[in-house]
Amino acid sequence: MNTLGRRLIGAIPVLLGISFLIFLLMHIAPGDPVTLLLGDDATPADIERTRHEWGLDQPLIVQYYDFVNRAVRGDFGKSLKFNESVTKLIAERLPATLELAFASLCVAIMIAVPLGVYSAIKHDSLFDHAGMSIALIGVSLPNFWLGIMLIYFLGGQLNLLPVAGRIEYGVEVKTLTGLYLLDSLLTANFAAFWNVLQHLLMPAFTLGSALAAIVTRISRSSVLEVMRQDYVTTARAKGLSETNVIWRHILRNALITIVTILGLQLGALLSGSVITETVFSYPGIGDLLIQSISARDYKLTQVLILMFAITYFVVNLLIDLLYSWIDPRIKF
Amino acid sequence: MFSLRYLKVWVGGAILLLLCVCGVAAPLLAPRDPQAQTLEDRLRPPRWNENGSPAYFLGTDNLGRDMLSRIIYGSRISLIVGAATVIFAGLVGCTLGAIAGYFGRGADEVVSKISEIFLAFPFLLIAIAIMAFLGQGVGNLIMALMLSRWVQYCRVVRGEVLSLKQRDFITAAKALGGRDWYVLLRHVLPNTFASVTVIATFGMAIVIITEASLSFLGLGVPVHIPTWGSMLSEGRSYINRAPWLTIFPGLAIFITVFGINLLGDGLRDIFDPKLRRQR
Amino acid sequence: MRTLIDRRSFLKTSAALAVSAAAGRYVQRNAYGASLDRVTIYHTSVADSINPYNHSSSPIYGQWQHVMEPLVELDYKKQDYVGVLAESWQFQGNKWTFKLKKNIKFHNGAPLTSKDVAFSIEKMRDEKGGSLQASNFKDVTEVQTPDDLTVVFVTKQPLAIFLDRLENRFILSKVAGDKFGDKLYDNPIGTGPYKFVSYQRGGNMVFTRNDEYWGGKAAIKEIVFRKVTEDAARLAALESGQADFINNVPDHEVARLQKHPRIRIDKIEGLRMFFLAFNMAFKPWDNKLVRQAANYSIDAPAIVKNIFDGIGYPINGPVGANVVGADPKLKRYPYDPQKSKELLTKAGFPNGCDIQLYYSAGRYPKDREVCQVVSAQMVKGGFRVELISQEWALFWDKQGVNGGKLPFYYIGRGSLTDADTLYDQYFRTGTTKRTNYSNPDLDKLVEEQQKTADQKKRIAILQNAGKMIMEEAPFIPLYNLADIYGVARNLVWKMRPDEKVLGWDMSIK
Repeated sequence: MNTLGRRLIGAIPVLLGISFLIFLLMHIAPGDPVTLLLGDDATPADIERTRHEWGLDQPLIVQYYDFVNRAVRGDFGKSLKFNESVTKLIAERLPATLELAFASLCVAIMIAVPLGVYSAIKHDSLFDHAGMSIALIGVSLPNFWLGIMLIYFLGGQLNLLPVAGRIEYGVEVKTLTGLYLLDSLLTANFAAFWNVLQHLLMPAFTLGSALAAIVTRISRSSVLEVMRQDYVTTARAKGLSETNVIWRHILRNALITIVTILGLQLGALLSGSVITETVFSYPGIGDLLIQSISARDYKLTQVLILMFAITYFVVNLLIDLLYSWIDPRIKF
Repeated sequence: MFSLRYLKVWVGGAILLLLCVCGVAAPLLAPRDPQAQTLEDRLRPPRWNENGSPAYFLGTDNLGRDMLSRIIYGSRISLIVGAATVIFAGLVGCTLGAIAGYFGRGADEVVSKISEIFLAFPFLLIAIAIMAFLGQGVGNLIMALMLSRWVQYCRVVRGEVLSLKQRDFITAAKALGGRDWYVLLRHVLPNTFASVTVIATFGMAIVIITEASLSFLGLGVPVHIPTWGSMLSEGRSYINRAPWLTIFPGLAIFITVFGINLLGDGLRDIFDPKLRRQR
Repeated sequence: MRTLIDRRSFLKTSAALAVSAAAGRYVQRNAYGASLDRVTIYHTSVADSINPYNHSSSPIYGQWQHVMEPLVELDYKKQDYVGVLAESWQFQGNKWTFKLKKNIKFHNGAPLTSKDVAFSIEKMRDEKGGSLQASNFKDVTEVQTPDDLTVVFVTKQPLAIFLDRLENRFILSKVAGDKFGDKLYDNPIGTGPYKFVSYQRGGNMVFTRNDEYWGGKAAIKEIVFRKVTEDAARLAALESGQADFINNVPDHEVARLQKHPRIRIDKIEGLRMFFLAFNMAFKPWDNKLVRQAANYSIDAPAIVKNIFDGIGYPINGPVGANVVGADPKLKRYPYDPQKSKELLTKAGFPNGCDIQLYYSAGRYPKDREVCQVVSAQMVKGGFRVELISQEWALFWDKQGVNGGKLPFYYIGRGSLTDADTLYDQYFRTGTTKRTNYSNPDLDKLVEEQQKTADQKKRIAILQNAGKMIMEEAPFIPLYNLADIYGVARNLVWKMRPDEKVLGWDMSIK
């Protein structure tokens, strides 16, 4: 518990550091939100007036102080591009991304871990080589391209799945958690569940495929690694059954590496969501981030990235805790 | 030397070598100038197709440029960007990760803080910021990708070292009076080699693909430099009309990634000391 | 033996049936085209905010226009303004007086009055509240409402082009405003042919028919807009019937889709004019001969033919033929690389001339290809071109086009219906820094036409200005592109050049 508290307190300076860095980076990087918003017709005088109106002509440090001062009180300001409070914008989109990320993770784990572990156990067999080749294809495809191909074939040519969005207009889900799959199950609305699932399949597969490939490889190699350890040989020598050896000794130890990689891949998953959501017009925060960066929407970008940072921090904290649970020898 | 165990290394190495040759000798190998536009010959299918022209073996793109030449030239950037990123990111990441994992305490604290900051940025954001600030270019691309990749090595090496530190042979080495640095270099690091190789090979593949994704978002290298990634992302809208615009760069990426992985796999089998002992 | 075969074929058939049932088609509802009940539109640009004044983009004007209407609108055929909510208007001195139509009712039943106009304009001027349309009223000092059906705009000086600024300024109900207060924009109440149903950012924007519309009932009951920016996704949606209508069909897909049994392709010359602009603050563009040489070196028809599959309209003269103020007698500089080289030699560049061409990759259709062809053509004309792509935020910013920092760039000016817009913003001294072009004679003409109320006289002045601009060559006019729409075959609609997609102009065949 002590460790946990220390880590939580230790996170505060990191988050402040990140927020200042982003703030600086965004303001140093060229591009002005007002010029972008006002478009073709704006004259320099219009632009100056609007900048003043929104307080963008204030010195940087004043703007930053203002931001932190408000943020501490829970007010993250207003997005210039969307003309809406940042909190509301994120709140309405976060569940979508969580749902997508979770679905992708499921896709990846369900494909990858069994494939990787089995490949390792059947080391150098035909199955092993075939499995690894599939994994290779998975990482060799840029996910925007995979997404577009899926849209083209499954959506356009075969007309099997919807190509854009989260849910069909006219299908209603009562919002409880914002995760449509969960909400529709809780309200026993199976038609909506099916519709949401159909919308989720292609994006989740697109986002999950690269992850699946990586996890397959890592599971395989870490299982192989563990299989060569002395304690496995010992376990076998003791006459334990093969199943027992695999489950009790090999898998448990191999899990450490697999879990690390999953934690590390969270960043990749969030980055990937930027592209996947753009391709599938999926209304999540990845899509929001790209739009806000290209509009130079300072406040929104700032808060979004901080949110990525916090998510990441929390997940990795959980992973470290998991570590010591899986392998009690590791201490902090 | 030529046993099946080395086959992977030979095949993977051969593919990589071939690519290096392509990259270095591109001006000699490419039948045409990759920039030369022949608008009358735009969107010609590959040679073996009925409308193909013998002048363009893999057909032409939407500006009538020779696909074969562009793919040959494209290997340059892919290889340079891939290799440079992996080397720089690997050096920085492994060093910091090993120090953090082995010495723990203060060193670990500092390295973990830094890596946390970097991990908190989705790599695309780092790339976008750097590209927006410095402008497009190969150097900036390498910088952006390196900054987003080193943390991977750092975290995994740290995790492995943490775990290795507890193992008997390290304790023994220390008990025998080995100095920290010696133990770290001689006993700990070699044991992380397997994981690092796996990450590095995949890292290179990811870098090549990330380059393509950046092109998709309109960043990446300047348009006049042909890269597989930009060819793929520009060709995607022609999937109906001219599928060869995406098939060949896609194949090039696939073969390269395949070769790199094969090599990595084979190397791990050879270098892994425990494996050698066992077999 | 016989029974066995039968059982086998039975098993095969049922397996096939099971597979096709499991992998059912996604769209069944309207597999044969659009229906009167609902038209689903996948568009590249849909409102980002529920505040209808928080943008200044033509397609989004079109979306809000379902619910709310302007006082006047440009009729593209007549090339003149026609009243929508306004019955008539009068321009005298620094006053514009509008008479509103009688018996128009808002969706909440309240009658349209001049108070609603004054209220809406106040909202449009409220920049703090998120309006991005305030600059249209920067010359207006007062809005008077002498009676229920009369609105008077008092301007700083006589403002002949005020109708242009009033286009797309939509009127909301003041009664609703008083009732909903801060929540006004969540309940947009206008006079339009459709009523607002719902809006989700990044999701659907939905309108339903207003059966009591003063201008006659629309045919389609429900209109759904959804923002889909990826070309492949819009195309797939159209081909599978998930969408009935899409915009921005890539031109290289046109030939294939025209053969599609359920799809029609509609093309119309767009209002966005593409050109290459010089910045006179940079050498060598301060030299007229070099600018003319560059004009001779570019073959715009070849670009249209080869890059855009011939679906485009090369411009003769400084603006496209449909723009108010165009001069049918003007011709573009012919393609003549030899002449270009001669002019360069005359200008003091016998060995060619180094230039940089800026553009923002991905902003406009096929901009990468266009700029690469442009640079290849200019090389033949004696220039040495370096191509530089910048992210839009940077390109358009004060370090870029609007700060006058780019010497030579590829750009498109959207919604260009009147030559005045282009001449004022790009070539009049001091309006913007986009070209840093300064010519007192041209300034005088631009100023004069802005004060002229008589459209015919104004066009004559604009044509004079056009002639001057062609000779001076402060830019290289290229082409207008087509707006290409993919539409379900049984859907009939009135095409417009301004990128607006209007539900009440649609019906089912």
